[in-house]
Amino acid sequence: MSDDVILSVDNLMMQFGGIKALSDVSLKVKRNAIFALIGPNGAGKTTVFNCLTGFYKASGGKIELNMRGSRTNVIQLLGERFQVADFFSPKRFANRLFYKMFGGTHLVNRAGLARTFQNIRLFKEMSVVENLLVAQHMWVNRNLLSGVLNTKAYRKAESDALDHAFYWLEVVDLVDCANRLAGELSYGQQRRLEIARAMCTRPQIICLDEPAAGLNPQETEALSKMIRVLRDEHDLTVVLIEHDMGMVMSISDHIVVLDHGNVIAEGAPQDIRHNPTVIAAYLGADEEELV
Amino acid sequence: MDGIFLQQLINGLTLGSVYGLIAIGYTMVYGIIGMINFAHGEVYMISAYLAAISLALLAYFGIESFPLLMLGTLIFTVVVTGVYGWTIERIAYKPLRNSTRLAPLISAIGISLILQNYAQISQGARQQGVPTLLEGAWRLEVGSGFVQLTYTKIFILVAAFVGMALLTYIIKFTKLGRMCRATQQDRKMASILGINTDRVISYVFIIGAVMAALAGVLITMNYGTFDFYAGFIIGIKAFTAAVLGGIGSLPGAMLGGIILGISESLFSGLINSDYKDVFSFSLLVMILIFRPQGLLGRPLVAKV
Amino acid sequence: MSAANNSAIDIKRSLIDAILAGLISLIVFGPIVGVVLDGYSFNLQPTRVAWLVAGVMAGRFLLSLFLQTEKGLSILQGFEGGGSGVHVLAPDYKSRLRWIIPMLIVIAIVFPFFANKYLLTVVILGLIYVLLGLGLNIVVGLAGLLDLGYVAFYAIGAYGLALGYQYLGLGFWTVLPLAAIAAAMAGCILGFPVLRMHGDYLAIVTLGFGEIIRLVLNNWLSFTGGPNGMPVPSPTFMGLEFGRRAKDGGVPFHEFFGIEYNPNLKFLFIYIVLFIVVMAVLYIKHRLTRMPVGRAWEALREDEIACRSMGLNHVLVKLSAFTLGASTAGLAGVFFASYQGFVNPSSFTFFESALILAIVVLGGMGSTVGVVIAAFVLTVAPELLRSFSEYRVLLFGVLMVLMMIWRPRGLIRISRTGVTPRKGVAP
Repeated sequence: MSDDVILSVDNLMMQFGGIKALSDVSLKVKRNAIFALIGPNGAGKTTVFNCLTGFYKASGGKIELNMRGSRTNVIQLLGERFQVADFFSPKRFANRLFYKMFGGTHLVNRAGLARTFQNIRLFKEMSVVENLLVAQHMWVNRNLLSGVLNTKAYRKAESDALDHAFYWLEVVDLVDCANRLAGELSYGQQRRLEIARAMCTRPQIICLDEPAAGLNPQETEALSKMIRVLRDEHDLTVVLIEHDMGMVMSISDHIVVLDHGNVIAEGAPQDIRHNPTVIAAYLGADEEELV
Repeated sequence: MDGIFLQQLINGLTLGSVYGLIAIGYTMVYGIIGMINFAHGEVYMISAYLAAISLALLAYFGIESFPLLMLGTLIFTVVVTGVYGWTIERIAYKPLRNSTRLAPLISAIGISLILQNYAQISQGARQQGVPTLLEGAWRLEVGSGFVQLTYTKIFILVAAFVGMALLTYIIKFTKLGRMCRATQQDRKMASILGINTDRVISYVFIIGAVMAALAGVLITMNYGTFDFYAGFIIGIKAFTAAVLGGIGSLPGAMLGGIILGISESLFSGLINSDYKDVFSFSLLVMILIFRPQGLLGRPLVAKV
Repeated sequence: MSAANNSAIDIKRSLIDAILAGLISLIVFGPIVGVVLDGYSFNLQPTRVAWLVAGVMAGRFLLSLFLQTEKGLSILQGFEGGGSGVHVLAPDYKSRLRWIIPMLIVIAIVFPFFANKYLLTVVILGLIYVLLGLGLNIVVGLAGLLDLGYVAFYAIGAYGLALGYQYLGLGFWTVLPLAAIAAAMAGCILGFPVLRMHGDYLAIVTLGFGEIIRLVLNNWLSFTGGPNGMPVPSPTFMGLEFGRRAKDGGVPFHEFFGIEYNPNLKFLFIYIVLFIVVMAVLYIKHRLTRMPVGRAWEALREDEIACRSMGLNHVLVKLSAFTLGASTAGLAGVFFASYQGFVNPSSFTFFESALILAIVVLGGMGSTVGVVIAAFVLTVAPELLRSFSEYRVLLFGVLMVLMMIWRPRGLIRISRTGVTPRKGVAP
């Protein structure tokens, strides 16, 4: 795997009981690109996302992140089953036990991958700023003693966190809503706040799950612009699932099409647009809709 | 030794089948609205009082034949306890359907306190009892000792089995059962299809209460004594049984009840009877740690 | 319903409602209240039933009438709307507590000079429950974890002092921090495996844990003295005792300082130390809600999945709340044991857990001031209303249900601090 690839998925498989949601998905995401995952409903896009971000433990395959100068095996972070060999090597055993006890989704985020959710998951009864402060949990001064004593270093860290929060509020154009409850915001504002919140975890990849769902054309346009800004100015890799083909085609650098848990096509937008397999997969979806 | 072992096995089986009946109330309510009904143990306790009251009333009217006594008591207890179940759901849980996650739990604790104190105030804090209705037992020689299988225990086993079978029939084959299962799978979808889910939830509470009432009558027959505090411990144990079998699963509740009853009886008979409650609670903690989905439950996948 | 219909009050409907409620209550109350068991026979008490049923009918009738008025309708609408009642304060908001807190401190300092022993003990008990309420408030109110075995940690604190004295010769001051640590450790061991799972299981596991602790204390005669309990040493101040005469030929407190002997000295001392501890815990709690950890607790309560996606280890964050709450209970236990002079398992029943929960519920989940007020109301009021003591538990139960229906968040509105917006900041 070259250093150019920030996220690589090999032969990912996911089963729920007897149902095979993903049979064999492989993809490579290039650094500093906008990568789109599309496919008809039920193709397994969100399942791929949930595997990438560690919410589901994949039944098979490999997911590797290459960020912050190190490679991270996502599946290992979630705590794998003990294997026979573990019982002979104390180090491996300890390692496995550690991930079993303390591993989980949060480690994926700490490795540098943030996400948003299809059905917005904000802290509805906390203020907008607080939402962004919670996201910076790993970056502030969490020492209980210095917090209780309100030391200088603690105040500095909190103030920096606030600066960071307001910076992102400015980017998503929500500064005026800083002191409102997140649940009171309009749908479009909530979507933007969720992106800002994900960005506050200071990731290198951001996974957006249908960010344009429920937005009107103007808002979608603004969102596209924002996603480009994320890539160009913040050195970010964007992975997105989206149904709005117009948006996908206009902003993506690379597209992977999923159907029934398999990759059926991949390539640049213009290749996908004319790919007959893709058109066939979108049964009932005429060519116009893909344009 | 063999005799004691077998005797405890039988005791455990009877006790366990009754735990199973109560566990059904937990499991069904949890399955349908995802809430632990803390007041369920207290419903059982109320039904024990009702059974004793009914027996006393029937005796006052001079009814002495066992079948009549049993039938009268069962009908009376089941009906009144069912009304209790319905009322509790109506007052304490229905208004909270869209509230925060903790609200129904705390409300259930409140109801549990209310019922305990209500029984204590109206009936007094002393232990209550019922006369032995079925005398006699089978005695079996086993090795050096013997095993005693009282007619009461046999009756309990049969009654619990019939109750379970009836419930399984209702859930599996009747319209009401279909509605329950549909609501359990997806409440919103069920209501879109024209099922009055609020009413189904009420039915589930009534069914749970009815099963607890059956258990109340049976346990009261077996032990002969109870007090206003009886619901608390049995409540936790029945919940343990529900978790052991896999919460949300009906056969699981029964299986869990029997396993818990037997292991508890063996523990108290062979090891230490002072710590049998500690044993059951520790079992609960252990199951939750190592197999939270229980024996027959399906593992939960968090929906993201 | 249109506005025109509202003016006409349908008395017939209310009557039907009332009669239905009466019938139900007759079935519910009739047997249990009306037929009191007496051995294998019974006594009839029909008047009690009649009163109860009449009360329910009248109540239902009035409620039904009220809900048809415009005010009632608006209240009903309010329930269905489910407004959360949470609001964000303006950035420059100054709380009125600025004035109230110094006033309370002054009252607390002046209070012992006027109080007799009885008043002093009542206030000490109130303060102990403030401590317990604050601790549980962190767990239930902030982190949203329902802990029904909270009393177990309280018992660990109290028995820690008694056992520590009996077997290791430890005194009040040594045990105070040790009890907090021991309770925290117990919380850790119990919480770590359980907190990984679905939230509601915690409630039942803690309920079971509370019972286990009580049963062990009750049954382990050789170690804990069983139901008879154990004696607890009086606290000392720098090794000086508060009795009239000190043991082993030491110098008692009053002689050392050359003041007159006062039998209240022990309680006075507990009061002072307890007050300082309560103030410290209040301050820490106040800080915690503004610290990253406090924010993380509340965020977890709101949405666990989102929290995990942002790098928060949900188990450890929850565990920190659970542990902190437990250690507070441990502290309270030490005070309770020294205040009472002995400990026995009957002080640590499930009812005690329910009482502390009632304090948190009444005080408002996550609200500090509310908890302090509620703790005093719920512990001092029963002292004043001795004749109602029989109905105490019933009232707590009713209170919990009503609070959950009326205001699931408690009596005091939850406010969130605002921040002054900053513009043009670089990352």
